[in-house]
Parts: sequence; C-alpha cells; structure tokens
Amino acid sequence: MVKTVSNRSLEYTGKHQPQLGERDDNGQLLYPYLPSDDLIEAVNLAIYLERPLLLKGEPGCGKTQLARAVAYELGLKFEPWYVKSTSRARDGLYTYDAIARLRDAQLASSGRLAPADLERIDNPATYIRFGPLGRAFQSTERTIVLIDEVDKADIDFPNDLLVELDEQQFVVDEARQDGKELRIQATVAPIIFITSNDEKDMPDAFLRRCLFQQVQFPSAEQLVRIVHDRYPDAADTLTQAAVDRFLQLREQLRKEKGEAAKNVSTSELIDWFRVLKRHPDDEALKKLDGKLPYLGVLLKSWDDHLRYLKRS
Amino acid sequence: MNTNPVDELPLLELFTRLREAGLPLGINEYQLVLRSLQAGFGIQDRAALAKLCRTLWIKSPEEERLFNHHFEQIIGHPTSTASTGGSLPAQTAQSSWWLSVFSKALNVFDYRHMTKWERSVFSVCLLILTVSLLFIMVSSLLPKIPFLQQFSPSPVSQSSPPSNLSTVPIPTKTAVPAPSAPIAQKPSPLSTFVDHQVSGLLSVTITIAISVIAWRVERRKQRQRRAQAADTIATNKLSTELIQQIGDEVRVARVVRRRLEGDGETGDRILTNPEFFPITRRQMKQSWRYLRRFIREGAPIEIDIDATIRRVGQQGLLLEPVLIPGRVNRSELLLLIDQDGSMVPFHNLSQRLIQTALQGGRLGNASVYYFHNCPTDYVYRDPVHQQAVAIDDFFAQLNPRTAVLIFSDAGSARGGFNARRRRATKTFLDDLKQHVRYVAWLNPMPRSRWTGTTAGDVAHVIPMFEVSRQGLDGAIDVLRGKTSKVG
Repeated sequence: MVKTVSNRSLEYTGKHQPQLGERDDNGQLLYPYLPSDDLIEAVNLAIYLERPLLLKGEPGCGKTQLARAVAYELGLKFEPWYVKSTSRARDGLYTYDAIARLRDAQLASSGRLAPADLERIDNPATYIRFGPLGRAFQSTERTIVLIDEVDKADIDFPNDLLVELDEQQFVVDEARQDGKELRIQATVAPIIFITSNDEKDMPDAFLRRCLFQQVQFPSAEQLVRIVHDRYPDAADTLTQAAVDRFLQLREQLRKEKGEAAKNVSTSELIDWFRVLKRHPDDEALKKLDGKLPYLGVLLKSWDDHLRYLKRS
Repeated sequence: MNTNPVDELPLLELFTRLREAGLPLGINEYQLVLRSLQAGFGIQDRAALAKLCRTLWIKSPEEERLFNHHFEQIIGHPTSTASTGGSLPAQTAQSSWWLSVFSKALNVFDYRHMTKWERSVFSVCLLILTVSLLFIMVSSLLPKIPFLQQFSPSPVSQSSPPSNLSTVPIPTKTAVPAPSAPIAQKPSPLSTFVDHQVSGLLSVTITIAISVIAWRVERRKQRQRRAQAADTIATNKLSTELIQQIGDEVRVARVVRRRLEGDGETGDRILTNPEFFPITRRQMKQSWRYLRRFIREGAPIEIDIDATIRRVGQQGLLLEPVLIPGRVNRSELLLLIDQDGSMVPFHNLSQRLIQTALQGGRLGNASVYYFHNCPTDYVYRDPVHQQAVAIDDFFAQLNPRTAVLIFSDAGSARGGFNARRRRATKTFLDDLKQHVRYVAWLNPMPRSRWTGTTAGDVAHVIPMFEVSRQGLDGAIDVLRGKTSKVG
C-alpha cells in the first residue's frame, strides 16, 4: 500500500483510494476521498512551494479529510493537531514536563534513583515532549501535518506560529545546556494543511504565508460518486434518489436561511444514507418518496425541523 | 522553457494592481507565481493561470472578486495573452485598416463632435458641393436629352475639376467624387475658361474648409477618446457593483485616490459616493482585538511552575504541584446604539460597528441594545424598537466588568443645545456608572461640531470620541481601563 516516492516527485492525483474497511496507522477507518481538480492543483502547489495550505469551506465539506487522503495516497506520515480554544502555538512544537523533572529531582535527592536514571535526568531533553509540528520537523521524510480548526484558538495563535512556519525551525527554551540552546531545524519541509471554519478572521501576516483554497460543496455527480464509493453495494437508483432529495432539501434551506446559515453537508448526507441503507432498497426508495425519513440526521435545529414540516 | 510566455504576460501589472487594491501581497508572493509557472503549474491556458494566481494570492472570497475583476481587465482579452499567441495574417490587418479608414470617413459626418459654427460651415459647404454636383450632372445629362435642351442652364459651376477632388487627402472626398468622376471626364462643350477658374476656386475652398473641420473634429474626438478611456478605466475600477462587492473600503479608498491622482482631466470631478466611512471594517476589527481582559478563571488546569518550586523550597519536598486556572478572555462588551432620527445617516456605520465587534473581535461576550436619542425608561434589543427591556432590568444584568460603548451623536448632528436632553443623558450616565466601571462614547460627528451643542456638554461627563481610527482606539483604551481622558 505504501508507495516509496522520492521527495521530488510527490504528486497528489486523488485517484489512489483506500479499500473499504482499511485503517491507517492510528487505527482510524479510511474512506475514499474525491477531491475536485482545483483542490488537487492547490495541494500540489502547496507540496511544491512548501507553503501551508489554508482550507476554508462550510462545515462538513471534507476539509479535514483531505489531509488524511493526501497522506494515504502519498504514503506519508500523518500528524494531526486538533486545535482547542486553550491551545497555544508552542503546544504544537513541544511541551516541557516540568513536574516530572521536579519529581525526578526529588527522587534523586532522596537517593532513590539508579545511576542510569541519574544520567537520564541530567539531560533536559528527557522532559521534552514534541508536538505534531515538532515531530514533523525532526522527521527525515516529508510529513503531512494537519492543523485543524485553527480559528478556535486565540487570535495570537496563528501569529505565534509565523516564524516557525517560515524558517521551519524552533528553539526549545527549557533545554538550554552549557549555554547552548536546543534548536530543531527541519531537514525536509512538512506538508502543512490548515483548516478554518471562518469563525474568526485570520491576521493578514499569517494569511500572506499560506496558500488559500476554498473547498466547494460537491456537485450532484460528485455527491453520487462519493456516496457510491462509501457504499458500493447500494443500488444506483437508491443512491441517485437519496442525493436528489438531499440536494432539494439543501436548496430549500439555502433559500430560506440564506447563504451564510448552517446547511446540510456531505458528512450528514453520508450518515443519512447509512441509516437509509439499513432498509432493503425498494423500501428505502419508498421512504424517500414521501416525507423525508430520519430528518434528525439532517436537520440539527428545531426551527429547521418546523420549517421543513410546514413546507411539506 | 516557459520563460518566454511568462515574460510576455502582464503578471507584474496584475500584481501591482492587486497590491494597490490593498491585498496583502509581497514580492515573495510574486516570485511564488513565477516559480510555480516554471515548474509547470498553471501554464495550460488562461483559466489555469487564473487558478494558480488565485491559490497563491487570494485569501478570502472577497479578495477573489477583486482578483477576478482585475484579472479580467488585464489578462482578460484572449488576444493579448501569450497562450493564444500567433500574429494576425497580413491580409486581415490590411482589411481592418481599410475598415478603419472607411469608418473614419463616415465619422467625419458626425455632427455631435462639432461646434455650432463648424456645423453651419460644414452644412453650407456640403450644400454648395451637392448643388454644384447636381449642376454638373444636369449639365452633362442635358445635351443627351433633346427635349430638355432648351432649359440648358448657364454653365457657371458646371464642371467641377476632378483633379482637385481626387487629390483631397481626406477620405470623405474620395467617397464623394466617385460618382462625379466619370461624368466630369467629358466636360460639357459649353464650359469656358472662366467657369473653370470659378468652379476650381470654389471647390478648393470647400475642400479646405471641410478638411479643416474634419481635422478639428478628429483632434477633438481623439482628445475625448483619451479622456474617455481614462474615465472608463477609472469607472470600471470604481463600478458601484464592485464597491458593493469589495466591502472593505480601504481598497475602494485606494482605488479612488488612484483615480483622482491618475488623470488630470477627470480628477477634478467630485466623487459622488453615497457612503462615507471614516474608519474601515478592517481597522475596526483590528481595534476590537485590543479589547481583551484575560482573567484566570475556571478549574485549575495549568501548572504554576514558580509557585510549585517555591513550595518545594518551603516544604523540602514536592507534595503536589500548584495549579492555577487557565487564562480566558472575559471582556464583555455592551454596545448601546442610538437609532433613528438624526442617527439615520449613521446606521450603516453602527451596523458595521456591531458586525465587527461580534465577528472580528475576540470578545468573550458582546451584546447590543438600541435606544432613541437618550435611553430613558426602556432600551431595545432590536433596531426597530420592538423588544423593550426596562432600564432597571437592563442595569440589573450588567456585570461591573462589562465595558459599555455608547454610539450616539448626543444632539450634535442637528446642533443646538437641549437642556432636557442633557439632563436625561446625565441621569442615565450617572445610573450607568453605578453599575459598570468602563464607559465610553463614540460620536459620529466630528469633534469640531460638538461645541455649543448637547454633545459638548455631555463630553465633559464622559470620555467622548469621534469616529475615526484614533477615536475608536481611544474609546477602547478607556474600555480597557487604561486612560480616562475626558474629551
């Protein structure tokens, strides 16, 4: 499955897809991913120019999945970094376990450590735990780093990463030894994907250093293909009918709630289809004809629900 | 291999335009495009190039619209792109030259570009020319029609000299003498030497007059065309549609400035843009970001290394680490917006203030209330004053940490001093100050208009700022508790 490719000829095509039920190294289930041509081009540009690729788009349109798909096709290591509201930029590089060091110092002073351990705790690098970006910088082959939902963190977060992304190096402050700082310099540039839900605006200085790609909602044919690739044993008529009904609902919601509001997304379509598929094909088709079944999978607010019921 | 087409593309111009339009681009970004082109990205066709530039230079849908506009303008015409290449065959070039000559000839008869006296001279000339031509025709035809010979006219302007007409350089004349030439070739036997003299002189004068007029018209038209070209570029850049799309007036402002600086002829026109914003959306967002108040709050999750070490020092051993709560942004903002009446012109501005505060800022909590003129018994949750909240309830829910920003003209838009309004405002402010610590006032009218109005008086009680970058920054400083300069 893993192709050995030299760093030069890395090219993402979007054609090499995982088989059903295949899992990645972390035990995550892998699914086929069907990118648009624009997206493939942007990914290849980011790989070639060694710049982070910033992905925006409505929730559930597959921003996060892209990084995993690229990692799978290129056979590269995948380092996800899921940003939280409390995340700080340094967490992605390294964290320093001060408590462990204090504990070890205490154990050493009470004479309960073996000589080998003493040697170990003398080295400050023992207490450094590298984050996803830190690991990617140290790797000898290109790594895919996903910085997921970067807009969840504080406004300073992207700015704090500027130098590290630019120079591809960082300094571990705590590991200073004999007046020399521990500097981690990347030998090969990681391929970085950054996703944003556009909840908050990004600082200009950060945007300037990224390539930008708006992930579009898939077309009807693409949706059919996506569903088909996920559930190849479903009948084509059922897939087509489900996608049609789904797009109708989406269009209706868009009209009523406006462009910016939360709309049903690809990931919800996949979930919904999965529920539908539990029924035999003809029964599922019959269900699709009337009132939309399993609305709870698609509509996430009571208002939407009422609105739909009122219409139909 | 692709260096040639790259050099031919007006990429640098596109880049410069986008920069001037306010996109955050540096020379690095330009080089990125060149590098990518050399690596074979985006060289297939125009769409591929656009896609490449878009990926590298564009960071938001808003910027994309701006980009598309400029791209269309600069690389929009397929003939000018390197990809379509190929020079036109000489034949087409020549035929198009003839076409242009012909159309120019027609254009001379364009009355719109003539002044009054030119028009009259031109008409007289044309009239004389037509009459003389008619005479020639009649006189040359008459001998052939026997029964008309008795009406044979006096041969004054009978023969118009073909030599004179044919040497006329302007194309109008070439079109005109065509029918007359064969007729004039066999001059009527009645013509005399004197007639030749008179008619020759006449036609020369007419020709000169027409040429002079044609030349003047052509020159004026050229000048006009040049001005128009500059104008269309400017107006294209400034098309209202685009302005609405751009949404960030830093860019519009720059385009406007460019237009005003760029061409002298249209530069003195007054720009009639109905919207005027002393502070742009982006600047507002940047200012809001300063309104932060970090407070350690919630469950203790972070380790206080200093305190832990200190405790180890005190106790002699590490019993447990000292934990402290994480830092969270607890700045709460409350916007009080004066709506309707004299504030109608500023509704856009207040909407923008609200939007940027909710979206662009990093506020823990932001809420908006509306009032009219002065908050008295009720404030409202909506701009149309439907959901009323009693002022006491409003005060009760205030947190002492909440920063309150009031946006109102305080009577300075209409001018004049209103003692009742001043009293009401002061009462409200006194009550408000009992509940919150930080209050600032933004006034959409410039400071120079405050004196002598209610606003001037209110400004003594509360820090009041005009709406500008400095003003908003000042107000936010007050809300952060930094300075309390009373304006």
